[in-house]
Amino acid sequence: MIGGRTAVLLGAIAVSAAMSVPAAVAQKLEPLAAGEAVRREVLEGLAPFARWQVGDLAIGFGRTEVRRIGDHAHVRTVVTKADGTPIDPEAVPWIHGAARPTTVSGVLVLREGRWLLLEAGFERAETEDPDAGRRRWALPEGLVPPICEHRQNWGCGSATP
Amino acid sequence: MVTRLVAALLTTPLIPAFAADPERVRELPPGDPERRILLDLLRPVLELEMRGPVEFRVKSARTLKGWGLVRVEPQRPGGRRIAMEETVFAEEPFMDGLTTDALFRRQDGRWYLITHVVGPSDAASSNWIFGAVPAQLFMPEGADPGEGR
Repeated sequence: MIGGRTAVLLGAIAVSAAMSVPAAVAQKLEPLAAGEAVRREVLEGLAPFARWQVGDLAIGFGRTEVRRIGDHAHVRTVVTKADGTPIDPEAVPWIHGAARPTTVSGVLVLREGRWLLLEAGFERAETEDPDAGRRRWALPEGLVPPICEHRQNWGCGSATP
Repeated sequence: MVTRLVAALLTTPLIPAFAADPERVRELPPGDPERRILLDLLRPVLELEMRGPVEFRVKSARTLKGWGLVRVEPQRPGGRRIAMEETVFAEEPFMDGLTTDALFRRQDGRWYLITHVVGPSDAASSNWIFGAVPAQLFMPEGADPGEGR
């Protein structure tokens, strides 16, 4: 026999559990398609880093993948000149040895409505896993794409490359 | 002319201190709003790398021409020292402490974290001086920028 207080407590637990379901759903991986506002905001958060790394050259972004889980996003994007032409990594002293096309990967976090860069880097030509360091962080599972067999792992682990 | 002068005198005190002279290195004292902004930008990544909440003992925090540089010693809330074994660097063979340098840039009225390094040698963060980054930002307080030339 369940007493009145216990029934109220169980009811509260049930309501609480039901309310937590949407939160769990929000933790699913969301690959963001071109044109989505969040994708643009993530790139805005990444842009000052990318621009600094190429010596303050005006830049644009080419092929881009953004993966979001809750308040975290992983981004992988080709950095170009502002007119869309490729950057030659051997012509920019600070990214010598970078992969072609010049590609940045990084992780951002959403704080108070703004995507803040945690860490990013230009992928190196010889690096097999550009996210190696970030795999040690306690990020939402599945945020960082898995390592693919092929070097240019576009679409790796993503539903919509 | 007099009207302009009076207007200038009236508005000058309203300009925030950090906007007063962007051409000179500005040391950010405790309680300074910009100092708090820069530290808040750095905190999320260090909480991941230190595997838990952090607060900072600030060794230096400065800005110049829209760039910011801070050097901090991360510690646990309350001041407890963070052991290397608690961090993501536990397996790193060449770590020399958890002192952290971070570079920031102000664009369109907002500060952005650009990069950071934990356990840097002095040379590590001086490698950040390229493009538009002003070298003076990296000079110790009171150093003569012409020294050594």
